[in-house]
Amino acid sequence: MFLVLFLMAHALAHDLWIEKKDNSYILYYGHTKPKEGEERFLAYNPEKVIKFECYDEGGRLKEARVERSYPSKLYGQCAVVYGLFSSGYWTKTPEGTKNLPRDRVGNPIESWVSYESVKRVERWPEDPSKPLTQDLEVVLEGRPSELSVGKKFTLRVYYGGKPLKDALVSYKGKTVGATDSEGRVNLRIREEGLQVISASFRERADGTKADYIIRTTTLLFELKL
Amino acid sequence: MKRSVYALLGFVGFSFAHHGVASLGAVGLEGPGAPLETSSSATLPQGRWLLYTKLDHVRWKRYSFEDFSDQKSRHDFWMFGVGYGLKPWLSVYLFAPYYTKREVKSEDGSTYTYRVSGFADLQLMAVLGLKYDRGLRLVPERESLEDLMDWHFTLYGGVSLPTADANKRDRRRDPQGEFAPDMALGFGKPTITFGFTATKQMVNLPALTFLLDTSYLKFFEHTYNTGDKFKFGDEFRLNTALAYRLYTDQGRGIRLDLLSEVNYLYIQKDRENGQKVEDSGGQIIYGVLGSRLYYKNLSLGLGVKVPLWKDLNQESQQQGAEGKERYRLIATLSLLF
Repeated sequence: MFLVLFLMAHALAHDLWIEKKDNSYILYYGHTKPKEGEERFLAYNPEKVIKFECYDEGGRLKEARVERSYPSKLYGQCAVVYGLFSSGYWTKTPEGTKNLPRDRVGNPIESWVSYESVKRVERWPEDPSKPLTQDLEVVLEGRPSELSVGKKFTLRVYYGGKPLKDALVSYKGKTVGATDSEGRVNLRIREEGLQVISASFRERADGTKADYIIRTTTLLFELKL
Repeated sequence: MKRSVYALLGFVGFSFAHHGVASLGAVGLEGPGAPLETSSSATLPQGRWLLYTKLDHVRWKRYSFEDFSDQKSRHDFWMFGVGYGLKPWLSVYLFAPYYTKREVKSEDGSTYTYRVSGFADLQLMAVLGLKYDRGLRLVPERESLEDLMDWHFTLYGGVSLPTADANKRDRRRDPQGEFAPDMALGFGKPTITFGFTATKQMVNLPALTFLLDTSYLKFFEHTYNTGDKFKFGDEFRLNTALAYRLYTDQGRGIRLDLLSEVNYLYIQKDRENGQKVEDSGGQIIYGVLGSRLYYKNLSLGLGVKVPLWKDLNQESQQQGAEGKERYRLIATLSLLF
């Protein structure tokens, strides 16, 4: 368990998020709450952006113009904006952690490949409990209109379109639980404003380039009273 | 979360006073607190074991030997237990109490100490866990930190088996042995206990947990080797507690709680050969102040318990009974694996 938490900590060391500016959505990578010595925005290679998509209220993929640069931008009227990113291979060595696959460093201790995704909800889809992708994704179970500060609500975590057990779920950066066999976890909204809910899990990799695949996803939505 | 993610521990307090009563509890590093005497409403995670030991060290108030020719001095009630989570909502326990009782007795103008030690009656117990989360339901396998702040309840029941020696007695002054059921190790007959607990970790102040526990302990009449019949008075308890999380270090798996409890105890009069023993039983309110330290899957609890108020039957005739303690020191050590 400690190894899992350790790896999750590495995977979660950087955040992926989407900000809205005028009529565009911007995909950022870095630290939403940088500590001393940390940069808020980390420049990334646009090729690391695997998906940057726009969905309508029906949960259908919608045409949108994507500017593949740093930072990547998406222009469109979207109910949901979704981004999938890979920060690549990471290998821990006696000299430190390197952003390289296991077979490209000497004395590897352990290694992983990291995939991060973010789903920003502007308007809830008609069926908010349905995943939009086959990637790791957090969906809301129940009616969005029932969300309120202090009240519990249920989320489900999906991967490959199926509920995922044992995903660690965090709320505003704090781990609050793990999903059950139906992929469910209960949370409570603690304050209004932007809600940041993340889920992570790891699976075994081929062992050549990486020991593990670590997948992390973040659900972003605004709660206004 | 999976109940083990934050080293969620089930800590069972099973405190035998001179007759015995159960208290059960559980806690994680950020979950509800667990007092020393008041049962909490936590069940053991499914498939997990709990090893448990508790010491209840009692110092009795002493009086002039003119008033009481025989006086209980100090008792050590050890409890060794093992628990297992059959289901997330059903835990079972086996407890083996070990008692050391000391009584200072008068003999020809001097005194001697009669000491009895040994294992007391084994006890079996089952705990059914419930919670209120948009409806009453059984405790699920997984609970998030927010789920742990829901109202949790347990119904528990147990039975003791008459495995210990109920006829152990002092033969120094009387070769036939002096009849003193409260200095024996066993009750001679099974006892039955059943209870209810409620626990609430405060949503807006998660460091604070409120707990309530009520239970009833039923004794049955036993005929001793002497031919005497004796029945201990049944016990009713209503305990409340507050546990406050003072300190946590998630990285090192350390948590420190401050515990305060108010325990009410009503004891019926004992019955000897069908007759009520008038100088037995009564009502007591105890106060408990203590703390509990958690380190990963270990927990160490320490506390002091004193009578705050009492209304005992023929109080001036009672010595070495509940309500007549100078103090009780309580220590527990638990391991979940």
